[in-house]
Amino acid sequence: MSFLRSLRNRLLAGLFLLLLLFLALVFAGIGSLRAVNRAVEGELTTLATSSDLATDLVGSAADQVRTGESYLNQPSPEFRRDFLRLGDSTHSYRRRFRLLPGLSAEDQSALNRVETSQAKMEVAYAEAHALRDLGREQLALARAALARAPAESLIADVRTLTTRQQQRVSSRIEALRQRAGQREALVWLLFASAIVLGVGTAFVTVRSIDGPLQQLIDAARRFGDGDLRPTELGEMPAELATLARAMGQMGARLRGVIDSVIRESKGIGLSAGDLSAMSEELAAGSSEIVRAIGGVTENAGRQVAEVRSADEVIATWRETAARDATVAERVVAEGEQVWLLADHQRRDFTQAATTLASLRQAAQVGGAGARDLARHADRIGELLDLTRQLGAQCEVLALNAAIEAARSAENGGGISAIAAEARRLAEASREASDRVAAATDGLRALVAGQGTAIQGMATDALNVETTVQRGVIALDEVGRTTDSLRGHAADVVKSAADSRAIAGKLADLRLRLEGDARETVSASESVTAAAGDQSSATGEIATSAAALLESSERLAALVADFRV
Amino acid sequence: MKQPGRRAAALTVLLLTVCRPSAEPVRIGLAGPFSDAVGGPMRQAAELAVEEINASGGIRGRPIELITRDDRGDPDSAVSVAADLVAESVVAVIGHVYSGTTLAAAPVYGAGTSPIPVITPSSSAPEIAQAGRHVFRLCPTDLEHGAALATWIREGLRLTQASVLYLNNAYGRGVRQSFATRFTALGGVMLESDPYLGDSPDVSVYLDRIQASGRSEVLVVAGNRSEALAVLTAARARGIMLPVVGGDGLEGIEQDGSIAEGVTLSAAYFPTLDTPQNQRFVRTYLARFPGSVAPNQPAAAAYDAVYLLRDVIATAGSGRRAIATALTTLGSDLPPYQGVTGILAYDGQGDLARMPVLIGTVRNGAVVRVESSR
Repeated sequence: MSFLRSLRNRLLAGLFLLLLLFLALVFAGIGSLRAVNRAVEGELTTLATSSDLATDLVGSAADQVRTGESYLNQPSPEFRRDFLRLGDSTHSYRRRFRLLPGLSAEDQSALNRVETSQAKMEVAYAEAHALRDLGREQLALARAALARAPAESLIADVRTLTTRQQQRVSSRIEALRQRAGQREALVWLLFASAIVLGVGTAFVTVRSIDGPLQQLIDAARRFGDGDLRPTELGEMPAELATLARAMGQMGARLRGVIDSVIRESKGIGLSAGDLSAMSEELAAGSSEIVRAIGGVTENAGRQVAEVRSADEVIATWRETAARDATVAERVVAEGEQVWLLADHQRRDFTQAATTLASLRQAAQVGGAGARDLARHADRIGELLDLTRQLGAQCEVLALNAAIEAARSAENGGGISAIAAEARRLAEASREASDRVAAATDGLRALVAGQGTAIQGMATDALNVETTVQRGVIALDEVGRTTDSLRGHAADVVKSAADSRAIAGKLADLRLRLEGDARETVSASESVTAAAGDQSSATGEIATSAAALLESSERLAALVADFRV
Repeated sequence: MKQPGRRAAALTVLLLTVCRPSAEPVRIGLAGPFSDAVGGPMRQAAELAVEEINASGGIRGRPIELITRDDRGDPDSAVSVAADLVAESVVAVIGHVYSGTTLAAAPVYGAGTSPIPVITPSSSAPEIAQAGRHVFRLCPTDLEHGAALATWIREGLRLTQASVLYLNNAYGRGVRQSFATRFTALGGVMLESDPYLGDSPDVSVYLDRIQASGRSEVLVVAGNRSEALAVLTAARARGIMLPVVGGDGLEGIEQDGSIAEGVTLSAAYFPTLDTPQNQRFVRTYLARFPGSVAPNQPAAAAYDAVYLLRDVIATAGSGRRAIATALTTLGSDLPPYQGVTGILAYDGQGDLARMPVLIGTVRNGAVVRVESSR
């Protein structure tokens, strides 16, 4: 009977049942009235018909007897026709009487007797008429006398039939009255049943609603008081069961929500603490970045100043190289002259000795220039170390900035920019240092070569001087030595030209270093500004962390009263 | 442990139990004057039909059980017989033979909420049509018999003046009335119309008057065979040699010897009909009841009635109302039945829609068909 678990269906079923009973009442009442009316009408019609038929039958039979007697007194064809016609009428009435409804077997037998009586009566009169026609009047009268008994029997039977019909109608009407009383009792019984059923349905329905509804009200009150613990409500109608299930689901969801709120408030508190600590770390990192950027800026300034100071060294180097070239050209010229002198003035050792002394002096001057050039190269190396240190610091700076950017998440945009700039600066510094190192290494190699050449020239000059001192016999050797000297002089000239080219390159390098240093300064200033922005963002983060902490405490306080 | 023998026995019992209702017989009542020469052949023919049907499987597997009751041709007995058959819970009744008995019993069959369908083989009174919608017949009405005789006398014998002796019951009056109506309509003159009572009619005084008047050209006997025989005997004894004509009540009079020679009668059936159905029926009947004379109209109609009920019950079921409804529609919703007595179809009032009235004359101890009304 799951259909009746629904209040709606229960009410509909009750109403439908009541409606059916009401309709049954109406139909039973109307049907009873109509049936009684029809039955009474039918019985009355039957009674009237039977009464009429009996009257007609008796009247017709009486007329036939009268006509039969009349023929005996005065035979005529009309009397015979009337006798025959009245006989047919009497038979017709009897047949119609037989067709009346509700005739009993006794009635049928009575009608059979009526038919027999009529037949006998007719035959008696017919024979009497024949005898009368044959002139046997006494016999005719005697035969006619035989017709009286069946005629009386016919009339008596018809009366009996009529009486029985009246009694039957009376009994039928009495039966109808009893049936009407039974129908009335049935209607009252149906009416009482409808009332009992209606009251019972209403009582059961109200009772089935009231108890579960009170349970739901209690459950709702507990919900209102914050008691969200699950409760068992038991069996109840479908609609209330649906409501109870909905309340249970709502309680379960509320319990889940409150558990989630408690967990989330704790999580928010912890996250707020972490965020506060992170903001402090971020602030410290920003200070370090600012300090590091200050150092970078300072180093870049020094780098610029040192690069500018390198200008003088390079200019001096360039002048020295020019002088070396001039000297080397003069050495070549002097070598030419020595060779000419050696060739043409072998015989003049004095001029040769003087020439050799000048040559040795020039060699000494060249050696001193080479040593100066080596010292300058060493200083460029020191400057290169400084540039490499600056690049390393920039890399450290880029790494720290990247770490902070990752920690600061959404607020780390500025720090990311700083990290990118620092990374580019470090890469530029490293590239410049590599280039300067390569140039410096080349310069050192050239200076070393020049020093070696100058040292060789001095040695040769000493050898020539020794040779001069030894004698003229070595003039041929002097000539060859002079050729060698002229070759070395050419080498010196070439080295001087190379030194000038290196000096030009160093000047260009210096210009690029100065540009890089300026970019470093500019980047440092950007990083410093970003660090300032980061500091303000860090402050906001710290403020938000404090607000979050306060919110989590308020949330925890809100759900503290619920019992789950 | 398995017990196949017991299981088979149980199955057999179950099958017998299940099949039992379908073998329940169809109970059909048969009422008539079986002790007289008219009703006896009717009973035999009905039993023959039931034997044939049951031998061929019955009605959808159900045998027919014939409940026979003798009403002795008396209306009072007919009423009690009808009450008895009602108590026997028959689904239909074949009977009664005479119009008086049928009219007396019809209300008994029609009482209650489930009227019993009645098929009378030979009750020809016109009132049968008003006896109730549950009453059917397998013969023409008296109106048709009387009218057919009047037509034959006027047009066949070309006689003008007729006297009628009639049995003073529903049958005799009906034949007399219909004869008189048609005869006068055809220009004939009705001289006498004299009633008599059945069994041993004394019509001598009527014959004396007819003989005295000397005007009658034909004598019409609207009664039964025995009465007609008495009339013939009395008339011939008086030297009245008028042709005697009668209705189907005279059926079988050809068996009464030479006195019946020349008698003309109307009938719905002659055993000499040359239809295959009739020839087979007569042959089977005489073989089944050796020593019997040829079957009469009530016998042939009762034989047809049993077969007609078989077909109707097989089609509509064995409910009384269903049977009556199906019989009413025979010839319209249901096809006409080709029986021994002819093609059977109803007009909606329980009368046959087309059943010719045959006219025959006794010649050499047999009825020779001389005319048909249609």
